[in-house]
Amino acid sequence: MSSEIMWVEKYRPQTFSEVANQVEIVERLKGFAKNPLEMPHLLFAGPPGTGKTTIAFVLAREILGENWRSYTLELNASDTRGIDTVRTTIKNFTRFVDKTSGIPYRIIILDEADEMTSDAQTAMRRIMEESSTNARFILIANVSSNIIEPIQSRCAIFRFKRLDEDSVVKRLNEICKKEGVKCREDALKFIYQVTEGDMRKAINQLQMAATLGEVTVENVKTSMAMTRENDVKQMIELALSGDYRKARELLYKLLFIYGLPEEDVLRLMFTGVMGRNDVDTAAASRLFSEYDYRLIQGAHPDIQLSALLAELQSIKAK
Amino acid sequence: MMLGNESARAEVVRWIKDWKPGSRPLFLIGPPGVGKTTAIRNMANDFNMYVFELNASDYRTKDRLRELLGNISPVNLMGQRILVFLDEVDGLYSKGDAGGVEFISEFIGESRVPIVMAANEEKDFLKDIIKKSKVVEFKRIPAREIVLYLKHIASQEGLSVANDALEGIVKSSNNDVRYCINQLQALQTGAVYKDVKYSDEEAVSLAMSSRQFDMAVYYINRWNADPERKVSVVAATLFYNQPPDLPRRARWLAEADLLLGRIKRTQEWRLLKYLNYMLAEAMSNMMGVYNEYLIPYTVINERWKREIYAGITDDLFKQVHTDKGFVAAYLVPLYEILVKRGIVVNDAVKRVIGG
Ligand SMILES: Nc1ncnc2c1ncn2[C@@H]1O[C@H](COP(=O)(O)OP(=O)(O)O)[C@@H](O)[C@H]1O
Ligand SMILES: [Mg+2]
Repeated sequence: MSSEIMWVEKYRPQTFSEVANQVEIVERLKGFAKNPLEMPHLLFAGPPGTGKTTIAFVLAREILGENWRSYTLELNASDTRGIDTVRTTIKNFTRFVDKTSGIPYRIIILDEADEMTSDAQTAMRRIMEESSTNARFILIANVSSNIIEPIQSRCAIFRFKRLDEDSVVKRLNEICKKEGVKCREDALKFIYQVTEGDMRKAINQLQMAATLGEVTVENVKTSMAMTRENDVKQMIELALSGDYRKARELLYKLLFIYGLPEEDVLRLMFTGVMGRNDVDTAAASRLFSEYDYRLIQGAHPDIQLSALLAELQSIKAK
Repeated sequence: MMLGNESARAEVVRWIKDWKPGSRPLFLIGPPGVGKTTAIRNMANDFNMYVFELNASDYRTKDRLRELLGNISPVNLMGQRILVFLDEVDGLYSKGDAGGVEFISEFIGESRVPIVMAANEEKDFLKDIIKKSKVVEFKRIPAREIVLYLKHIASQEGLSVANDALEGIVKSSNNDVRYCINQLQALQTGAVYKDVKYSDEEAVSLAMSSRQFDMAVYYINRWNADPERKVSVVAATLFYNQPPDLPRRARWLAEADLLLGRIKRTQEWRLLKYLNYMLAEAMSNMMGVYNEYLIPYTVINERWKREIYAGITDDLFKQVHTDKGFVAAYLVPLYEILVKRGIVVNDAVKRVIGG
């Protein structure tokens, strides 16, 4: 298995010039690349698939050169990043820098930093203050407000916006050319509509559709039915129509067979429910916030999500 | 010994004596716990018949009923005549029993075996069936008679219970004899053996059949299991039976589960005392059967796929810089297609997707 198989990774921009749509951000960062010592810690905030991680990598390469990986620590939500990791792994990494190697500092990229506990963030804040000669942090978050205030005020914040239609369609077109895949313009626009400015989803949907032949609206629709997102939609439909047994079977398939993290199932359920016109959306948001809270509190995810499925009946619009 | 409804029971006996192929089926109507089921079982016993019973705890879809009853023979291997007893037919609701009513309506017209049905109410969807049946009504039994009956049982069992305690039980039961007997046993065992403990199945079944919330609490308190197990079994039973008021009950269960999660996290074990009340709310006064398996069996059957999916998810995750959720929800399905199309070779995955 090679990463080249997956287009989302194969077509991840390697340079600033390849990055779509984020012109202002890129221009400011280019300035930092020229004068690395002027660069403060950075906080990238914005919706998924808009280039946050990509741009962090590009920036690291621009500043650190071809061997950037040796001087970069990348931690994402699937690594343990509790207070212990901050006090050991991160602290040690920032302790010294080998100036003879010609690099200005080391770089720590913390993806999904908004998922870190506030304890861990507080510990990190100290390190950010004390290590600024040796290291720069690039924190990446979907929602900047989940980052504690003292950290925010020590970072230059870059807000990423959803990508616009032209730039996504253009990028998809380029990919099709390189892959020798035939595609229709209306199909690419349709992909944009259903992925809502998330380039990661857009590229993935493109590749799924391309496995079926020419990229047409029809093939995009067919391929959409193959994602687990679609399974979640179907599960909601079953629960609302009263076939609770089938709905719950699907839930357990998603959790136990396909291994979807429970927060993702909850999130996809929420999006699915809010996209319908036969539910009371105010009641839905209250219901989902309760269940989200319960998952955080350490309740059993499968029991909670089963109960949530049962309760969907009660938020049907009257 | 049976209590009350003497003439109704006599009619039941007359019906079976006169029965021959082509006779009308019997339809018993009356509130719960007045002896409909017992009357049928006693009658079958007296006539040495075998009762083939289906009640609310069985799936009763059209297909399932056809499978069970379609070719039923009039006698069993022991040479006993067979009697089909469809109990709680007014519970043939919703999608879970799709087509059940239509099947029964056809089946009773052409049956070669005697059929008895019982229901609490004359539901609208039963009109057609009732029209084709001989209807016998069972009535509530007067409280005074039940009290006497309970006294009789108590004395036979060597128990001493105060009169007003018995009257209290009957009053709260809505004159349901079965319920009264359960309560009598429960009270008495509770009083005599202070430390009586119930198994998973006993505790859950008794809690479900408790009309009164307090009784359900009583059983769940004396349920010999750790809190983790209690939550899991209550969840399994509730989700399996899907009572009509599932949303309300599910909410109580979710609350209990949340409480348990908090207790485990904070080690505040004193909070445990609230747990049983919440579980009792989820279980009390509900029709259903005990079940301890949380994972639906269709999913258990596919358990072997789990490891394979976990393997692909991990491999892909190592190669792309994105969260696990995206990998599992979008990249793995893409990978499946690539395998299906022969673009990527992976035999394990091929087996999973059946390509
Ligand atoms: N602005 C962009 N220009 C070009 N490609 C992008 C852009 N944003 C995202 N992508 C594509 O989407 C994938 C995910 O992008 P990523 O930077 O990881 O998103 P984020 O970190 O914002 O969630 C990348 O591999 C790339 O293929
Ligand atoms: Mg990212």
